[in-house]
Formats: sequence, structure tokens, C-alpha cells
Amino acid sequence: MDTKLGIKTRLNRVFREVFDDDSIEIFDEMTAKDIPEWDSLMHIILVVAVEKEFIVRLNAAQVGQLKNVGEMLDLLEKHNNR
Amino acid sequence: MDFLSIKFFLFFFSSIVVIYLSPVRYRIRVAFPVLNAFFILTYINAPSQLWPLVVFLAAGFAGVRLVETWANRGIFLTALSVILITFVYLKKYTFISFAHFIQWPYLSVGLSYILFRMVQMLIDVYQKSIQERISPVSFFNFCCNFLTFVSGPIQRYQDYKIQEASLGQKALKDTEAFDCFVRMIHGLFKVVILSTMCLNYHKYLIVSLQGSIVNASSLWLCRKFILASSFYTLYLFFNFSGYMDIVISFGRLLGFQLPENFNRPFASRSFLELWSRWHITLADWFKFYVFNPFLSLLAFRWPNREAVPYLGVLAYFLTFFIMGLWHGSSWMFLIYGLFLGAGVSVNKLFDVLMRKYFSVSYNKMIDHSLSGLLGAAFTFMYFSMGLSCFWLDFNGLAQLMGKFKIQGFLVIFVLGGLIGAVVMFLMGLVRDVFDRALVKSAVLLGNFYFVRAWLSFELLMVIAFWFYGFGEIPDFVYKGF
Amino acid sequence: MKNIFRQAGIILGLLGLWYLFFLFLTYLFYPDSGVVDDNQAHRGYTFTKSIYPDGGSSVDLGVWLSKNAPHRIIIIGSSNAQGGIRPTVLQTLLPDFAIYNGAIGGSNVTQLREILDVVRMSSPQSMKGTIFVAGIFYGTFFNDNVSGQHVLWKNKDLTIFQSDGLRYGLYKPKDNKLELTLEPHLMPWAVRLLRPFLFWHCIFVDVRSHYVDFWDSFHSMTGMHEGMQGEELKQSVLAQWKVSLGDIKGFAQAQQMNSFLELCQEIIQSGASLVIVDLPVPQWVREKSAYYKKYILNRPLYINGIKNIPRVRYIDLGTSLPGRPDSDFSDSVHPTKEAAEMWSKTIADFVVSQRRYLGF
Repeated sequence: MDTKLGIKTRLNRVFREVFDDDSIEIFDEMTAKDIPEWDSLMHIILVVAVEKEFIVRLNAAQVGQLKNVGEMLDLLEKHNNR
Repeated sequence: MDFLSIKFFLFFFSSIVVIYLSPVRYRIRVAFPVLNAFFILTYINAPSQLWPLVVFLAAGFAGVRLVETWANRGIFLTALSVILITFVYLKKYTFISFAHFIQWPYLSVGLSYILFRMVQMLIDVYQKSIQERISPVSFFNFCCNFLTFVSGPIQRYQDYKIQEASLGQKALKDTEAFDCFVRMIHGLFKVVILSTMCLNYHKYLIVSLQGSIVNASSLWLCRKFILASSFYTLYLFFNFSGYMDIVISFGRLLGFQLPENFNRPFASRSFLELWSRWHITLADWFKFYVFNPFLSLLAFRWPNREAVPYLGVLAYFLTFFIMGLWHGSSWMFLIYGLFLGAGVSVNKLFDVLMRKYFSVSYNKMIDHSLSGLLGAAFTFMYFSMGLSCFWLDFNGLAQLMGKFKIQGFLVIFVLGGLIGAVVMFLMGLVRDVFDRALVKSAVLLGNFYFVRAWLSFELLMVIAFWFYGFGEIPDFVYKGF
Repeated sequence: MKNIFRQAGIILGLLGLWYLFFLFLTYLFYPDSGVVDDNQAHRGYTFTKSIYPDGGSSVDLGVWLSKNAPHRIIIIGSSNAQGGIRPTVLQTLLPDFAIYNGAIGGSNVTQLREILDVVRMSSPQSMKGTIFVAGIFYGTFFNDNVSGQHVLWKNKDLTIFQSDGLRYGLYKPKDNKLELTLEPHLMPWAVRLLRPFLFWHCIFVDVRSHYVDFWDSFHSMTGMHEGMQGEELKQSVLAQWKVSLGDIKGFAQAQQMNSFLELCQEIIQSGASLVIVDLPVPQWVREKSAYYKKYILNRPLYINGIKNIPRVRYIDLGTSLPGRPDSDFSDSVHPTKEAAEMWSKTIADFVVSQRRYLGF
């Protein structure tokens, strides 16, 4: 079982790979506004990459309603603790 | 029941009394469903007209219950198919014209929006986003909420449930109640006065187009078509957003916080941006339940990073094509769907190619005042051209295609966009003057009596215009979808 | 809830005050006096300004009918009758008549019957002292279900006249006709209470006509009003008439002619008299319009019929005013102001000369 820090590290790696930017450092309040390329399209690509990395399946409501990276981390932690 | 009738306003004020005075334990389980049922009954003349709606709701509820009990893929897909097929049948889509449709008149108002609600419930129950067991009363209240029955706004069940709990509970302050009435009267002004004026001028133009199409020059016809389509768009905006103002303000008075459907749509600088400002709840629904899943599927299937943007273009096309189809059952809406799909996918493809070859995104490009203005004008023109599917029939379109050919429509797009840019620039100047005047009038505008006197004068104008425009005041456009 | 009703009460209370304010204002500037209807000033009985530039006010007609007058002339027809037959001109030669122009733009025979129905219902006793002056032309004889007209004057399956009657609740529909909801003598009182809304109604009509004028000028300025000149323009106008009058196969048939003949008989049977004025059209329309030619071909169907009906007289204004130029017309059918004066004088002379046959 991964710790929250471990999850955050892995998620950060996913962000860097998806947006092809090694300088990205995620934080809880981070939203799409903080990364110019993060639009509806990239959001789904990001979600697919997260699902592959963490071996989870996020449903439509979860995918659509994530407001910031913090919520994404909480969701992943919840799945991780199951 | 017509939203612009005295009957509706009497019904609404009665419903406020009923909701606020009914005991809390009966409010949601008895009072609200009775009001919803009563509202639906005002649309029918005979009980037989209600059966198709009852069957549709029953099919939806049965599907939800089955999936709640046995959440397997087969049951989910079967339930979804039954709901979709029932909908397509009841809406009498042209592409199943071979079917034996119901011959007697029946209530079809609101079916499209009930479809969204039922499908959303079904998907979220299957994916366990909805954990609670949905009771028949909750199902009925959600699907047939009289505030959103006719044309939305489209809500998710989960959001609706949160607000249902506050039905009649929130003690509105004087200022909050007043703000609701301000919005309601502004909404009436838009529907009764502004949308009527725009529609009348649009009708005048299409009669002129109809009579002149054989003999007039193409350039003359282009200019008439630009005006006719632009005024139809304005009519649609005032009509739809005005009704939303009325419905949302009514909702607030009852304790519902209904979502917004419009956010200055004509400020959109791209066709993609338009759909985050026009009929927002519809676009969000399609994003959640069509675009996102479809793109996820494609991205899983083809994880190649290079292909991702192009998969996005395909997903956009399909999503908006389906959205266009939803608007109506005739072939014209197939064309509308293609038009919408082409618009967003070309917009996205352009963005993709700009990033790839010039390292600049489309959003960056239109982030300047001139390019933004041109973006907004051309977006408006493209949207207006697409909306001509709503007022042209197939023969009319064929006639125009024969006259204009493809190059003619390109001329319309370019000419219309340039004219639109000039008009928007001038309107921007007028708005600046108006804003400055508003700032200077702050004291007056803050005066209790002045503000209310002005609002009641606006209401008088609405009533006077309602009499004047008798027979011409358009019905709510989206009731027909 | 209390706050909701308190705010609603304040707004409705202030609305009431605005209503009283405008009611007072209308009496200050527009005292309640009846004025002869004259197309120039377009004055009606509900107000000093007519509500409808195209005519068609059932409310206006209803109030006019409620006023006593031993002899009346009611003009019916389309917009060329509305603009071309001037009550003030008739008035000078027929001072003992009260004259009302009830013509409605875009009328066909059914529309003419609407006026007759309302007059018969509102004041049956005055039919004997009434002369109907029906200003007709080829464009009167189209079917009710022509879709081109549907766009122009039918809204939600109502004609302009019906819409107006139902608008303020003073009439109600019964068997596809208008029936008064009040006793006729209460009409003026109901109209008095409606004055604030009628006042704004007039303003909206004025604004609309200025708005239309503005767009017409804009279109002319930018070359959009007439994309064609001369022959091309004429062909385009004829094409627009085709939209307005429908398929020529169903136009000016025996059915429409007989319907008009029946209307003439109904007018006479109700006790009134009738003058039919066949209004002229430009020379180029007479030469080029297939619809006009068909009307001329079938016109004898009703002309021969009316010969046997007492108290009906017929005048072909085109024949009575031979050799008039096309400049008498501002477009394909409407007369200029000067031409309207001339038409009206000719019609008035004719009515005076035929008084004996009309029962006056």
C-alpha cells in the first residue's frame, strides 16, 4: 500500500509525462488553469494515464467532477486503501 | 402550461405557499410530486396523451432498479438500449420512419430532458457514483421537476438531491427575494420583447428571401441570409436565456439553486469556447457522458501519444454530431449535427496543428483584442449558419445550395464575420459608455424606491408589449426539442 | 416566504401606481373624444392615433360601433382600400354619414366577412343605416390556406382581426368568429380601463414603423432593398405576389367568386347596402400578372351575380379613371397620397349618385 507521499510522487511523474514537461510540480490546489495545455482533451488523456499508472477505473462522475489535483490525490488514496 | 400566462404565475405563487407551508416530512414526498404532476397534467387534454410519458418513465425506473440490484454490464446495456429505443420511437425520428408510430396525439414535451436525466442516473448507478437506492418518488421528482421539466437546465441527480433537501427550507432575505424578481422580470423582458422583435424581423427577411431567390443577385441574397440567420440566433438567445432567467429565479425562490445555462455566449472567441457558454448544462452532460468515455476508450485502444490530439478531434466530432441529432428528428438535424461536429473538430484540429508547427495554441492566438474580436465574430457567424437548420426546411436549403454553391456559403461566412466584427466593436464602445454612465448613476441605482420603480416600469412594458404582440410572442423554442 | 410576497407586493403596488399614472397621462393629452377615421392621421376611436397602420382593430371598430349614428359607411378591403379610400374625402360629400375605414392589409374574402360578423353582432339594429364600401382587387381572391399569407398575417392560426379582438379579452372565439365578452355599451368603459396599455400600444406601433422605415432606408442605402432594377424588379415583385397568393390553380376560382357573392348577399340580407369598388392596379401588373388576368377572366362570375341583388352597386375605378399613369402607385398595388385623394373623390361622387339605389 502506497503512502500519500508515494502517490503524489507517482502522480507528479504522470503529469510530467502527459504534459511533456519535467518542471511540473503538482500541488493540492493545482487546477487546469495552472497548465496551459490542460484542456478537456488533455484532461481525459491525463485520467487514462492515471488509471493505467494506478490500476484503477474512474467513473464518469469522478472524471468530470475533479476540481483540483488535491481531489485527485484523495480519490487515488481512497482506491489505494481498499 | 405556458410560462408566459397568468395561469403559470398563479401556479407558481401557489406552489410557493404549498411548499413553504407544508410540513417538512410531507414536502418532498407529497407536496412536490403533486405539484409536478399537476404541472404535467396542464399539458394534456385526455388521459391517453399521458401514457407514452408514463411508459417512458416506467422503463427508466425499471432500468435503474435492475442495475441497482444486478450491476452487471449486460443488464446495464440492456436497460440503456431500452431507454434509448423508447425515446427514438416516441420522438418519431425520421430514420425509423418505417416504424408503426403511435397515431393519437400525446405529450412529448420534456422527453428529451427526461432522457438525459434517466441516462445519467443509469450510468452513475452502474458506476456506483450513486450509492443510495432511488425511490420512485425521488425518481419522479427528479425527472419531472416542474421547474426543469420543459427544457432544463439539466442537472445531475446527485446535485438535485442536495438541493431537494433545501426545498422550502432556506429563509430568503429581502434582498435575495428581490434579486430573484429582478432576474425574473429581466427574463420576461428578453422573452416577450427582445425575442419577439428579433423573430419578427427574421420572418420579414425570410419572406423577402423566399420571394427573391429566383431573380435576385447572389450577393444580395448573401446579405439577406446573413441578416436572417443572425437575427434568428439573437431570437434564440433571448428566448432561451430569458426562459432560463425565469426558471432559475423561480427555483431560487423555492430553494433550488439550478445551474446556469448561459454565460455571455457571444463573447466566445472560438466554436469550442461557445459550448462552455451556450446551453452549458447540455454541453457539460455530453462532455461527461459521451466525450469523456469515448475519448477514454480511444486513448486506451491507441495509447500512442502522437495520435492523442487526433483522437480528440474524432471524439469532438462524434460528440457534437450526436448533440446536433438530439435537437430534432428530421434530416435537417442530421445536417446540423454534421455542422456542429465539423465546427468543433476543425477548431480543435487547427489548434493541434498550430501547436505542432508553430508552437502556439489557438487560445493564445485569440488572446489579443483584434484577433479575439474576429474570433468572436466568426464564431457567431458560423453558429448562425448552423442554426439555419432550425428555420430552413430541406427544400429551402436545397434552393439556397443551388443558388450559393459552396463558395457562396464561404462568402457568407467571411462577409458575415467581418460585418459582425465591426458591429461587435461598435457595441463594445456603446457598452463602455453605458458602463461609465452606470458608475456615475451608482447613487440612484442604489436607491430602494428608484430601483423598484424602474423594475415595475419594466414589468409594465412587458405586459403592454405582451398585449401588443398577442399572437406573435414566440413560444419557448427549446420546448420543441 | 413572507419576504417573497413582500417584495412581490411592493413591485405589484408600484406597477399599479404606474398604471394610474399612465391612465391619468392619457386623459391629460388624449381626452376621450371620437374622431373621424382618416388614413392620413390614422385616428381611431380607441385613441387619437390608430393602433394599426395596417388596419384591423376589432377593438377600435367595436368602440366606434357602440356610438350612435343614424347612417354609417364602413370601408372594408385590403391595404390598398385602407390607404386608397379616405374617409375625410368621403365625409365632405357625405356629411350625414359616420365613416369608418376597417380595411385590413392582406385581406381575402374571409377577412371581409370577419368585419361583417362583428358589425352584425355588435349593432344589428344599425345594419339598415349602413353602407359597406368593399374595396377589392385581384389580390382579394386567394385561398385561406395559402402559406405565403400565413407568414404575413396569420399568427398561431389567427388573423390580424381575430388577434386584435382576443388581445385584450374584449372578444372571445366562438365557431371561428369573434363574440363580444361584454355588453356593447360596456365596450367604451373597458377601453377606458385599457388606456394605459393602448397608449403604449400606439407607441410600439410608431416605434415599429420607424424601425421598419430605418431598416428600409438602411437596405436602400446599402443596396439591399432592391437588388434589381426595372424589369428584374418587376419580375421579383411578381414572384413575391406568387408567394402571397399561392398556386394560381387555386386562385380566383369559381369557389372564391361564389364566396364573395355569398358575402354580398349576406350583407344585403342583414339590412345593409353595398358598394363594390374594383380598385385599379398599375398598367405593368395588368400586362404581366397571370393572377390579374385570371381574375379578369373569372370576374364576370360575381359581377353577373350581383346584378340581381338589390342595394348593391359596382364601380370599376380603373375604367372610371381611364389613362392614369403608373406613377399613381407607390408600388405594385398601393396608391400615392394624391392618387388616393382622387380615388376617394371618385368613389364619393359615385356613392352620392347612387344613394337612391342604395336606399338612402
